[in-house]
Amino acid sequence: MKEKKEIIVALAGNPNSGKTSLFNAIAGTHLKVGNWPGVTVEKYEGYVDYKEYRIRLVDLPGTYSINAYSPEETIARDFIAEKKADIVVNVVDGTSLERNLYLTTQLLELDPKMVVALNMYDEVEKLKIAIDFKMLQKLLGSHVVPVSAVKKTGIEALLDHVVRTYENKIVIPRDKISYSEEIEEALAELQGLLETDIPLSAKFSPRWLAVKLLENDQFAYSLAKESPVWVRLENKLPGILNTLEGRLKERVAQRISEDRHAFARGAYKETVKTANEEKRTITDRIDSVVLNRLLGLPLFLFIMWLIFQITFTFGRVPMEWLQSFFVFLGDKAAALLPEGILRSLLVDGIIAGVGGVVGFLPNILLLFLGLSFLESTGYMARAAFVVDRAFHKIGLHGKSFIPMVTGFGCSVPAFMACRTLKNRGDRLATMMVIPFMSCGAKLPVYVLLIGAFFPASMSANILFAVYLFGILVAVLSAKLFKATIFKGRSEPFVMELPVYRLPTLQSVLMQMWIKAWMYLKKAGTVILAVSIIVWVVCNFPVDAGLSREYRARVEAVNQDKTADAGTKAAAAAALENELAARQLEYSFAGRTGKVIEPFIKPLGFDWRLGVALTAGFAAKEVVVATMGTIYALGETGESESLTQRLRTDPAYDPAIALSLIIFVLLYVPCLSATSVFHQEGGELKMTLFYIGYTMAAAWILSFAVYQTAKAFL
Amino acid sequence: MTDAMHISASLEDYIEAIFHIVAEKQAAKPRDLAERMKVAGSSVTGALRMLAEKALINYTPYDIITLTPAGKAYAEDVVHRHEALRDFFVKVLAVDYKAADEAACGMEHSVSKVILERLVRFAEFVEVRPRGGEDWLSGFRHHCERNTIMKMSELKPGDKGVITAVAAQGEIGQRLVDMGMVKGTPFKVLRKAPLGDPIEIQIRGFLLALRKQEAECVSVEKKAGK
Repeated sequence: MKEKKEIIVALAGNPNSGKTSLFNAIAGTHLKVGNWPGVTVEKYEGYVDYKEYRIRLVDLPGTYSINAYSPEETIARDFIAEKKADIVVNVVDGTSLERNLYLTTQLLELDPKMVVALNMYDEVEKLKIAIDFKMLQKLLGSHVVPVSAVKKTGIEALLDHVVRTYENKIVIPRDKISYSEEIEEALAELQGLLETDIPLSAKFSPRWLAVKLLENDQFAYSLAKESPVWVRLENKLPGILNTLEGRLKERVAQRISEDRHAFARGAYKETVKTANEEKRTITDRIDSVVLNRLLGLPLFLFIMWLIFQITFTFGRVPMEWLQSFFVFLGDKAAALLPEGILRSLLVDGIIAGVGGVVGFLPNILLLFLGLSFLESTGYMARAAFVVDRAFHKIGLHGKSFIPMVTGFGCSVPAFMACRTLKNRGDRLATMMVIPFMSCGAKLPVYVLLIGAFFPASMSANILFAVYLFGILVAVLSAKLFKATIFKGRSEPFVMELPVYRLPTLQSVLMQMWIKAWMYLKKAGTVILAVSIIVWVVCNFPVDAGLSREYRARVEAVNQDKTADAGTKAAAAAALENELAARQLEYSFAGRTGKVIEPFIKPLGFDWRLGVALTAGFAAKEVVVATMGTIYALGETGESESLTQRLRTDPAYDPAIALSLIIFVLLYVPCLSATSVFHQEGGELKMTLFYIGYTMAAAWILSFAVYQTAKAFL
Repeated sequence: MTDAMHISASLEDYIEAIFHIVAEKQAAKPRDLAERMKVAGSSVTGALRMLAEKALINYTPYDIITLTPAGKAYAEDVVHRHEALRDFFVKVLAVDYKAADEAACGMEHSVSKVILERLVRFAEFVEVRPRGGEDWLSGFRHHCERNTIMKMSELKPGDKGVITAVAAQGEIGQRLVDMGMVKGTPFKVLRKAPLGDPIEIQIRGFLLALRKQEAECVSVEKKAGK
């Protein structure tokens, strides 16, 4: 096949402009599509082959501006300023053009080859908003292509424009955004100076640099400082700025922003005719209920409660199917394979371990389905609005809410979502409490224990209480952190509440599928590996003497002529069990469990739980998997589910179950989450503190719960 | 004007009244004067005698009254002061005509020539000032009528307004400005969060939530009515 020429296209636009949906519509790789401002913190890439080109798409973080106040803005700004993209596609929400055009003015200043994708055109038409494309194109000096990412219309035309712009077949003269007279004079002076530096001007538009210097932008300063022209700039710049400020009688950066807004407003007024505001009133009507002073908070709690109810109630039936499927699989494998190490590894190690985890897939799917739905409808931002006061009181930010809710799914994206919090104290305090937001991987542990020790009618309520308890610990910890180690002013709360949109079934299911796939992949790789390791440490070293001793005793039972066949079989089975248990005790796992047993005894845990909890450092699902392995090894009777085995095991009672739930809820998250914490936190000191704090919290609270529960239950 | 010419406030009122009556009817009668000044005939006689003594009017009992050249000059000066003050009140301070006229009546006697001159010059300057002029004044009138430059945080749900200034600096200031909160931007307060804190406003065709703490940095002009 012939090598295709590559065009690198950067998608830039406001949050909620449907950038990610457009990315998906073009590239086909579906990403998480949300309605929360700043959901795309990461850089997403994809490609599509069009004509003789391979168009490589880079989805830049959604930003309202590129003043580089946040990491997202910096990413977007650098990518375009450093001309890493051949073409910039500016995605604008056609139903909210005035605000969207503000970013456009800033993009235009960077002077890239640009195509404007006017997204949500289906809604624009439905709302009878008339847009004068010709005029808009003239004003922006870029082609404006109507598209609808949701309805997948206009995509071809957009690609066509990208290619033709790349080939320089579309050239629209571009007028500069003109500023107030005073600013223009200062700009002309600076630009003149900058243009004397040929290499710098070739790399960055001198006008953009001049504007940025006036705005006191650090990036522009560092660029200027590295160039030879700085010698002359250094002398002139303070004078120019002083004169300008004196003439404007306000901050220069502010006036520049005002002028940009004025341009955006002007362009909007000149090109857009609105017929009605129907969409707004629908949103307003929903908000008048959802954000109602009396109803808002109860409704928020109800919605959260509902999601957990659905997760548990609807998830139970398919969960049981999956569990019995794995039991069936284990039995079949056991029947087909000859007795020996291989069978034990496959049945007791792999099938029991992975099966235990995959069984909880339905619960996790439903939880993510609920969260994705809330996110893509626009309710998530409202939730932040509703809870901000409370969060602010405990020292967090309404925006901390999103990472924390994400934490219910998985701590890894939750830590990453903390990037939207720019204030260091806010961010670290939020990251520190995320482990207490019970992640999806911990759910199997609760489901297992609650199912085994509490009546079915109470289970959903207990589960909800567990989550609430985690939240309570998070709240108290946050308050503690903000009062001690992360003192200082927190980030302002200035946030868009997006218009309510009904997400397409396809996009919600797609997001759910991505989550499910990630979970299964984890089950297939990390958990598989850990299952094997756990199996190994549970089976080795083998105490040969022990096996011989028991074989002799079984032999003795069988030789006993006084007993009938039934009693003999029972006695032999009891001996087999005893052997397995002692063998486990002898293994690496047993020894490790024994070593830590004194430390966890006050919490009601025996060495077997010690083994499971230690294995849980690798991944929380492994706690269940390990228990599965240990119990599969410990009993050789009829195959039964782990739930039944736990229920019938006299060594356990509800107090221990509660204590274990609390410990798993609070103790340090899995290795991958911890490594992400380290990455995002960036300080070894913080990471160590985080491990120490979660462990201490888990131990102390489990101890308290166990002792209290023992007294009452 | 010499010290000898300095006369009391009430005499100034008389001479001003005579000036106006003469302007209308060529000559004034004591009865006209008493009517205009809303005083008894006897007080008029006393005042006229005193003005005649200072050679500001030509007066003999039961005859018509006219102003002497000195009296005319004096009267014109009083009238000028009155008009200048009244105009300043109406044009610059946006006070309505009647109230301005009454206030001018009280102040015209005491205001010194220097101050008066400055007020007049100021009114002229305001009218012709490059960035000001009529717009600036109408802005001030508007401002006075509303008299409600307040913080955005003080508005109630349903209130509409226009942003007049964003006082926040640095990051908060930039964030607010980036979201379109620049002076002259109209907005509407939609609601408060259930717990009372962040507020939701509609601005530039989208919905924005911000804390009261941030809203305090934004000066707004409240629009009258809901």
